[in-house]
Amino acid sequence: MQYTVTALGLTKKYGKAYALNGLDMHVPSGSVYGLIGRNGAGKTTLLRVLCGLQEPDEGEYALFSVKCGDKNIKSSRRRIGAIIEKPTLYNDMTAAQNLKIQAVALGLPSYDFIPELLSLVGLSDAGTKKVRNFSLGMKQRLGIAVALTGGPDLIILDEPTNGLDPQGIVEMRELILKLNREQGITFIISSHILEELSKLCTDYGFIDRGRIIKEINGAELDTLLRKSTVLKVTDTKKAAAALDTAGLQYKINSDDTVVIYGEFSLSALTAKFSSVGAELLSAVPRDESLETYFIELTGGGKNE
Amino acid sequence: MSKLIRAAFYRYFHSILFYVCLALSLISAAVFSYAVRRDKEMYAGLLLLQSLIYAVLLSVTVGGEASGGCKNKIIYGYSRLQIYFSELIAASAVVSGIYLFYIIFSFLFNISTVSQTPVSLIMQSLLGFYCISLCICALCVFISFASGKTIAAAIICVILVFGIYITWEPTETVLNKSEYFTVYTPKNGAKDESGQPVLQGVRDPDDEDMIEVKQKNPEYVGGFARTLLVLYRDLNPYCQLKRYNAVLRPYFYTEEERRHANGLISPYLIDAGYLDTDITEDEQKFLDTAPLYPLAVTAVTVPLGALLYRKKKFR
Repeated sequence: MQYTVTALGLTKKYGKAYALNGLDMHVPSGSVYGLIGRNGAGKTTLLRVLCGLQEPDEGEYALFSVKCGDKNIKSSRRRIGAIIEKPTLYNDMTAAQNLKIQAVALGLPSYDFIPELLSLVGLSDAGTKKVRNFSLGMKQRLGIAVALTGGPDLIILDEPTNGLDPQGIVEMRELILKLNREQGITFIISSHILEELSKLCTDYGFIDRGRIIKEINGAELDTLLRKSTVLKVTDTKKAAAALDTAGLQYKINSDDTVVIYGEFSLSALTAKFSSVGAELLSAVPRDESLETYFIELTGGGKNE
Repeated sequence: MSKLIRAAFYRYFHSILFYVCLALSLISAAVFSYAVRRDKEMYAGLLLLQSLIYAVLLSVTVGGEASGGCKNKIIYGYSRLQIYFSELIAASAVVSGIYLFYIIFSFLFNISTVSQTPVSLIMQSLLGFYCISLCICALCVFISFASGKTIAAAIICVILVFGIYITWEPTETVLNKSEYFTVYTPKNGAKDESGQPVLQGVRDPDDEDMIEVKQKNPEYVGGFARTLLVLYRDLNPYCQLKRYNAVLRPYFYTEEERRHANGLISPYLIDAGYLDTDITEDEQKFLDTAPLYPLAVTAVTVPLGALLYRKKKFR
């Protein structure tokens, strides 16, 4: 698999406190990578380090397979767009002027892309309105447009839906998905709205106390999170035989526990179990969400 | 780095503040010319206005960049030194442009004065004020990057400019105090009722019983404090302005005004030295060395600012 971003043993300290503590990370190319963690887990520090706004104390990372200490890292950075915490915009200028400044700084030969880019993020009607008069949602969209200037291959978004209304969140999600699907742009998105991330991401990295404690792709996570029922039975082998004949998907968890995925008829299943000599002791439905999975993964502790 | 400089220029030229500052400079040039014509004086307040124009324009524009705009450039792979120096170069160019604008209009408003002033003197004075402008520019860029916040940078820059302005006159006053002053006391050592020697500031020409005594001035500042004050005076642009004023002032008078004044003013009663166009040794030394002081401040400020910004942590 090809990775756009990899990190190995990244460490960053503020005083004696570790913001990143030997973090490893792998962001597949073309993915929408969701960075999930509590407040203070190290999400923003990680994104700042990847963007070059901070230097790691230890460890290394690579952008487009170019290591951070390499001479060519600058050319790799030209392929990145980012919004860290809030979009950095010039408030006394219009949306188009903001984009033009970025284009000039990047040395782009033409500014013809500006109307198209504004249209893409839904700001084609912004006209001569100064950014200071923009709503939060408009600023976020312009921030994305700024990040898109120069045609980046990787966009890093730190809490992109912060402060957006429900409509704005939907628009932002649709825009990210569109860019990912149509232009193949890789995204790294940190957010504390897990529900939102679950609708967007193809890959996930769970960060806790400065470390990625689990990296998982969307398909794997779907399997883990799909609707299931935990059955307690007297004999799992006999129960498995009954489940096979019923054509249900299942997993034997322990000597007396079977997890069944999908919908089924409880009375029909009880009858099948009886026919093979197994007794159903209890059936507990489980509908795990990304949120409960995250809490389970991090031990369910409080926010720090 | 040329791309960054171009981006910085774009910001200046698309900012209303830049054009407001240009208009204020035009007004400042007109007031300067009027003051020279009417009062034959270059007032410190005019330099204050021009310094404030630079301070506000640069702190708002560079401060805006330092407080956030530069983040995008770092993400694009530019180094902090490239960002710092591109902002400094653009700011210096903008200040140079405004300065040139100011000078052109001042000359146009005051063509008669300019025509009778020796070119070398004009050039030396222009160079001196240009170095002061560059020094203010370097300080404002330094403060903007060090503070990292637009409003904080603007407030600090304005306070700095005002601080330098309000301290120039007291500095001159303190330094002009003589170390000793002369008093007169009776030869016979007569004392007053409190037992102190009788002292008087003026001697009666007929009184031969009085002798001259030199007394230490208690308000005189000497030693290291004086060295520091002298350095501060040499660095202070308003103190420099006063000395430039002394050199240039005779040329603010037309030939006719000078002849008229010389005819009316008795050299024995009133000091007409301000009409004297001869440059003293001290004045020549000042003209030769004056630009070095702001340049020295600039030379310290620029690497210090770049170093601080390089180490600055983005929170």
